[in-house]
Amino acid sequence: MSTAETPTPSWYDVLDVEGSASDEQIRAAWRSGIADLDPSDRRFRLLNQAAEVLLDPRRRADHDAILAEQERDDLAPTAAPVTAPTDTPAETAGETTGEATGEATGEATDESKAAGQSRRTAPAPAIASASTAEAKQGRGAGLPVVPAWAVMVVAFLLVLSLVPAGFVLWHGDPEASAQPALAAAERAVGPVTSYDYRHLDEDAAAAHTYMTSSFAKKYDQLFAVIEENAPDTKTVVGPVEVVDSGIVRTGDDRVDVLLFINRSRTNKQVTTPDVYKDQVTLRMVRQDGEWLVDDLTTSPAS
Amino acid sequence: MRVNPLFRWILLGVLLMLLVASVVVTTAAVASRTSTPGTSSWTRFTSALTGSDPEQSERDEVRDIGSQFMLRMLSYGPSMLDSSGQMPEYRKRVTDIITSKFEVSFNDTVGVAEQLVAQSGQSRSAEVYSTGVSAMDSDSATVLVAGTFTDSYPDPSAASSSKKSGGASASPSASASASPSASPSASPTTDPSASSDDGRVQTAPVQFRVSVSVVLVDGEWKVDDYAPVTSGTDDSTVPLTPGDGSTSGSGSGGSAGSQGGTS
Repeated sequence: MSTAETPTPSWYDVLDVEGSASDEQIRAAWRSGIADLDPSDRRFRLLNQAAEVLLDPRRRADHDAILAEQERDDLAPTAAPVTAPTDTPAETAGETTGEATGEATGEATDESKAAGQSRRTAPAPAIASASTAEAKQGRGAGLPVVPAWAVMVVAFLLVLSLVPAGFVLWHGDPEASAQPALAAAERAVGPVTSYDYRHLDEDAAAAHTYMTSSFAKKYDQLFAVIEENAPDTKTVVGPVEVVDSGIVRTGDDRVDVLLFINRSRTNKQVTTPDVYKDQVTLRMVRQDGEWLVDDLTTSPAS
Repeated sequence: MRVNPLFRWILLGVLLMLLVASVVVTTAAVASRTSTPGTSSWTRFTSALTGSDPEQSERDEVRDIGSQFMLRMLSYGPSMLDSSGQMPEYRKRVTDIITSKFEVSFNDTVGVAEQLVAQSGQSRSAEVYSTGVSAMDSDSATVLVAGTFTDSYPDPSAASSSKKSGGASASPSASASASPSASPSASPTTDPSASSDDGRVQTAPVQFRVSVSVVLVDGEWKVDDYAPVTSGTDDSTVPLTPGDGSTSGSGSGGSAGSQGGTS
């Protein structure tokens, strides 16, 4: 007879106590149960196990939960009966339980009589001892099984969706750089293209803050000529007015910006400002989150 | 092996959540991508996927049309004149890339250039240095174009020594003042170093900075208008028309621009 077809006894049944028995009652039942048994007797071991479980509040609570579930499964006709994990401990327990109940049964209560029917069958105290594994099995038992192909299809779709996501995130957005770079170019063009003979060092230092280090080297070479001549000619170039601007091209971390600028100029001989109407293309590159001038191109005639 | 239904449900749930998250991230990245207003979602998606930049392609197209327009507008000479005193090839080169609306105003002014060329033998050529797009949407754009144009005239000394002048002996200054829309303050000056090997004298290059408006007509970009770029304080506001020698230059340093720092 398989355990799947028969009700399984509980540790309460083994000690012949009610489900609401107190710890003292359980101890008393255990003492009376083992009183006439030899320690090597398998029934002795079974009674010890029952007492261990029922006297441990946590394990007793787990056992009670399993019993409640068994009761629900019994009421639900499609519910799969909980079976012992192996036959050998159940059979052994069944023999010992059968003998133990035969000897330990005293005055039976209604509950004990109902439970006693199950004692004559192959019990499954091993079910209680394996409560965690069985309980987990039991929790999923009521759910329909998702077909493996459905899981595979969703997994495949996920992989398929990750490919374009990866490409999109990797490529980035070159146009997003356009406006910030243009704004930075409009701020930079004034300091980079103007100077005053009275404070050339400060002007050069200010211009450097808008340039990459590589462009700063080219700028310094040109500025060296200005530093030689401007003090004598008393040349002042500036202020610089940005009249209009536009994007030439964008790229990853690089944007070329065209600016139409008006620059005033005075010197020792020309004291009324002359306005020079220039066109300048600045190559802006992004370094450490900042847009800097990396190159400057203007009319070839210069 | 025993199947744990709960495990499969959990696995399915996690995979579905990841799938939804992946789709949401991709959609958000594509939707937030900077693009010209009016760009279709499919174009956004494919450009995001391939890393292409359709906006830059459009930008290059409108820059090219702006540049072409100024080169064609400012390139003509006596060799283009026909027997009726018109320059049909010049007219066609320009009207090919302008809207029909703009063609009306062009036809009103092209006669001035044709007359000048016929009377003085003026020839004009241009060079574009730079272009940039200051505004763009799905069917219109504004292109900044900077460059210079150079005029040449028959060398008066060569003409006076030869008695076979074809009527093209007008002096450059006289030619400039004959143009009804010329501005005296910006009349081209003769460059004494200009080569006269071909019997012509060149003027100094005159800088121009213009803003060209283009529109998309039947899938093709066409010029709809143009005007010089000036600041609020500029005193030269005469538009650049064929035959007109006045542009935005002022002062001796206005020609050909100057590099930052040296002047």
